[in-house]
Amino acid sequence: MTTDVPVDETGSYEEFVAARSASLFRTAYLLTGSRPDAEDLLQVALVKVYAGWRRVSKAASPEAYARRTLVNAFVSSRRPARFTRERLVHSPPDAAVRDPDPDDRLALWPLVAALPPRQRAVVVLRFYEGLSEREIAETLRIAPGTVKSTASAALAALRLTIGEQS
Amino acid sequence: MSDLGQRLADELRSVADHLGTPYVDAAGLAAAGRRESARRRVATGLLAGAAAVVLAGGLLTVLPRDGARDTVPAGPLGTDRALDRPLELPWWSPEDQILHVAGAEIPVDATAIVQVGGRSLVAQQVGGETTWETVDGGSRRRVGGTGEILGAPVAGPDGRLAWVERSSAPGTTAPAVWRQEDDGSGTGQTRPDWRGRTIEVVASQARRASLVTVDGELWAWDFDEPRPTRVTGAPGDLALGSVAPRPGGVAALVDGRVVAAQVDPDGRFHVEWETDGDGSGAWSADGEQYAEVADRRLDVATRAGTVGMPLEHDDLRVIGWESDSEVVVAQWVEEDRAVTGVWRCSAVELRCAEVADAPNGRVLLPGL
Repeated sequence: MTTDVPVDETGSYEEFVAARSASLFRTAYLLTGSRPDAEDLLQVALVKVYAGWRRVSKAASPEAYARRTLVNAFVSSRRPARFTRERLVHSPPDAAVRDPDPDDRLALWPLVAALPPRQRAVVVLRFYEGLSEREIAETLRIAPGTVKSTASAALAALRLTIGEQS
Repeated sequence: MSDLGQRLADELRSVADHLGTPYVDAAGLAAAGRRESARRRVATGLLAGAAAVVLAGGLLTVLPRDGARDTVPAGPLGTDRALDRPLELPWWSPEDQILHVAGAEIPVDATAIVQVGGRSLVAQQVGGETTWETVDGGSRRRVGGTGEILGAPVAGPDGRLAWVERSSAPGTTAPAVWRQEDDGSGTGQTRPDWRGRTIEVVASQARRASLVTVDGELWAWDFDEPRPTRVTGAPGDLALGSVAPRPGGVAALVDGRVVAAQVDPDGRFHVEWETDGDGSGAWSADGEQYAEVADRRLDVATRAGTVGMPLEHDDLRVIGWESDSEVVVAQWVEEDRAVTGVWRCSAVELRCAEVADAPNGRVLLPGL
């Protein structure tokens, strides 16, 4: 049953938003690759956080909760071009990426932005947020082994594109 | 951390550091959150106070008003203690090649899972051919004889399986025969004029009759009869794939509608009721309810009418029923070829909850 958050706790929510939104926005941008999309994603996540604020505010890490909400809202919001029944395959499809400019200081960023959503989320959580494999698994509600395989697939795709030895 | 990993970390941090601080209206977000909470309470009140309800077959059903579709909006997907229990339908993990079913974990290599008549069937690719096994109480048993099974087996209300099997007669163009389980041994039936034609078993009803389409013709075989019977009165030409199993009967796709039908003892096809749909949904265990996702809505149809609930996410599809009132939907992202969420929806309460510890990623679920 959802109920309104009391006024005094609304104040604490606003304080939380003021203190954490910049950090959450950066994560949202790294996930979406677009400022408007990041702002939308952040808003969706923070509204969800408000709905559960009575419980979230008492959690050990409200920011971790907000980050989980943000990442899962991103992963589950994808809209494919076509809805078909497909048989699962054992290796992920290669991501279509443009050739990076070797002189480009941000050579990897466009490639990361082109990764499929789950791979992108794992890369951001691991290499930007610095989360452990277990923490990523808890955030995305997947098995630690799936985190490992997803990260491996993402790095393999990046290496393939930039021509490094795996 | 590897060199690539360090580069990633450095570049992502550089991108993030150059973003600046966004403007966030915290008070506005709180107001939006309060409106969202209020909307959920109003939707629940509408359901309780305004809709006409009847008891049909033990299931609380919301009737449409004036024949129109009753689409009382429920809240978006949320967490509820009663609905968020772990998944009870079977699922398979490619990572450890374990089939999770009925609380058991069974090692098996699988390319498909089908839930038929309360039984789990697992398909495997062996030497270019597909074999099927039943999984009952942790034990596995191959379906069929030595011939390759074409298509997926179907099960009747008594759990008896029927399937089409390529004849193994050497030196001949092997016609497909269809068999039904008979105390495990299987008995076959075919006709000479079916040689070279495409056969697909599509349903198994009471009285142990199977329905088989032969190039668009519908045939029924009562196990106690020596030969099959051509079904009459079926709507138009039933192409392969337009007739499907339905517990206790048969389903058909006719002119963009999903039709619940029966084949009478005299071999006549008669329609019991019909609803909108493209056939991508699933039937309840008694064949009296049909659930399908379309346009971000989960619709549950019965012969009394249809009720629906809006869904918050895209890419959802029905993967099965867990009781006479609970439908499980999964989010399938084609780009990742993976499941990214599983929800359990109540056809009575018109609300959904995300399943706890749901399998995500490259897992197999019924129908996927």
